[in-house]
Amino acid sequence: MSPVRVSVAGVGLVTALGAGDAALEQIFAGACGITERIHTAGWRAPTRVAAELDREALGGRAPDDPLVPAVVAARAALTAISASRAAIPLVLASTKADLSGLAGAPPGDGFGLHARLADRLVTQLELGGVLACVSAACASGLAALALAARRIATGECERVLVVGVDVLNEFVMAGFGALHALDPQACRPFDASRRGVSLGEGAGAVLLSGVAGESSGVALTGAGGANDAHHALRPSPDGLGLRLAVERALRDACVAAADVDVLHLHGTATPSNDASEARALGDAFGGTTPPAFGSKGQIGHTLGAAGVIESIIACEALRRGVVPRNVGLETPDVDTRLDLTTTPRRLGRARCAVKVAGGFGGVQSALVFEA
Amino acid sequence: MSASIVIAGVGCVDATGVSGTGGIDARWDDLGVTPGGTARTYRELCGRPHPNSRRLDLASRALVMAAAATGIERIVPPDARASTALLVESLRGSLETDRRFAASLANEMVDSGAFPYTLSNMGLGEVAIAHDLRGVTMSLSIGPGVDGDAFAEGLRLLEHDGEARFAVVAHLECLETPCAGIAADFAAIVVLLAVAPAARSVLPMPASPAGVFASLASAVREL
Repeated sequence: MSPVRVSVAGVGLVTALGAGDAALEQIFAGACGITERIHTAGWRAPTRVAAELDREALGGRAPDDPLVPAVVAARAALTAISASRAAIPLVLASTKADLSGLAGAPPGDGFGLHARLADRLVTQLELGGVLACVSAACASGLAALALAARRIATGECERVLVVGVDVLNEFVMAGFGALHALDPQACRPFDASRRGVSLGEGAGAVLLSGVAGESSGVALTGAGGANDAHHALRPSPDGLGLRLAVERALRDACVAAADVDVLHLHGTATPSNDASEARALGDAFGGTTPPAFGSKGQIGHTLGAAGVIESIIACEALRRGVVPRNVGLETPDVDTRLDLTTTPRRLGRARCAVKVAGGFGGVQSALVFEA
Repeated sequence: MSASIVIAGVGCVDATGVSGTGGIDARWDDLGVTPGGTARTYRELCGRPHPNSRRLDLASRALVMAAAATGIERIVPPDARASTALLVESLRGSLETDRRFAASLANEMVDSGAFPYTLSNMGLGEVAIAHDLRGVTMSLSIGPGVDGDAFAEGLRLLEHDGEARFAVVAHLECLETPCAGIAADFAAIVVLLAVAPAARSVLPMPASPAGVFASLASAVREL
């Protein structure tokens, strides 16, 4: 990517399986946070389940306000260093950052205005300002991390805090329902019986730093993006867009496909996405892929937060040297070159992880993390 | 700003019509349509249909027409399209479509066709489909009064990406119906950036990205 090594200095996450290390323990133990809808039960959507945040654990504060989980995740990431927060700018990733207009406030005060949420987050955390607000559908998190890394690599910033967040609301649940994209039960990515997405909510925060000595032991060394240029909603069946994104990320990191030790998947559990993703990765790796896993069968699809949260999980796989199982997967039904784990697998070498994501509008992204 | 990057095309769609350095110059009145046009307008302007004309929301339609008005189809060679980046900035994002979809939640049938277009990157996807562009794709949400973030990010990509020779960068505001004190606003300005000598310069590169979209739109209208 550049002469400057862009390190992951600190992380924080809030998911349906809890926050921080406790959440990571649950994820690597194979737990599932997709349960009967409680908080969202009154909203129209053709599914009984969702991966809801524990409102009590968040202090019961304004539970539908994305600021609440975002602040929890961001504070955790910021504890990693002692530098003044006033020198750290924010990059926000979200799909529909702020939908408060739906809940009675005037539409202009909410309705997806990312900049407003970013300003509130900067004020709450006393950060140095808003660098950018990224909305690239369900690849927002990876796009935001790539943008932040580029700013460090070009010398414009020493550190950047990237926060990805989305909370559930009727707007999103009814929308996915209307597209017939929701599984009535907990989703089963890459399984023969998969029927669609389970929506989730959460926040992830990654503090990236170009300052020597500020590192958790993992660096973001490559980024690649692409567009399918195929269909507004469906990924290209040949997976060309994702393949291009992965190849570009590997070139950016100067890493050969054979050097990748683990893949963290997008794995939404829609029939078309999983099939396209598996083919793309099989082509990108020129045969059997590294051990591959996803997390949406455990924490649901957290939309704009997914890329950040799941990048943290990919880094954790490197740290532990373990690839967890794909929860919900019993009978794989995609390109057999994708080496999906059905039981936890210890890695002989854990130096390099690739994280991928895609979204509506044909957007595809890939990042390379190296320990 | 790098001297090796040039402005290869500019296209604008606003309340008066569609204009650009690529040869398109039409007023809505002359086309016999209201601002923003209809599903047929793209074909009338470009001589070929957009694959998704019928389902595009107003913002996406404005963006694809502004992109076409840059002359992109003529300027970007086929072998450069796979790496051509796409970036858009917007304050209100997809607010117009957000409101349409939110209103439908009260109905028995939710407006499923509107929901995907509540994502502010969707218009870029439609530009990608229209011209087979497969580069990095990103939508930026900007604060009030900001103009030029997408332009600056496009320059960074071209300078540091190492693969892209072209970038489609855009400023989009598309609020057709005023609401809650927010005035109607309708403008899509698309700039096609290129690494020289992949394309020739049609307008001088500004000294700073700040305010660049408004100034380039003015320049195009005066051509």
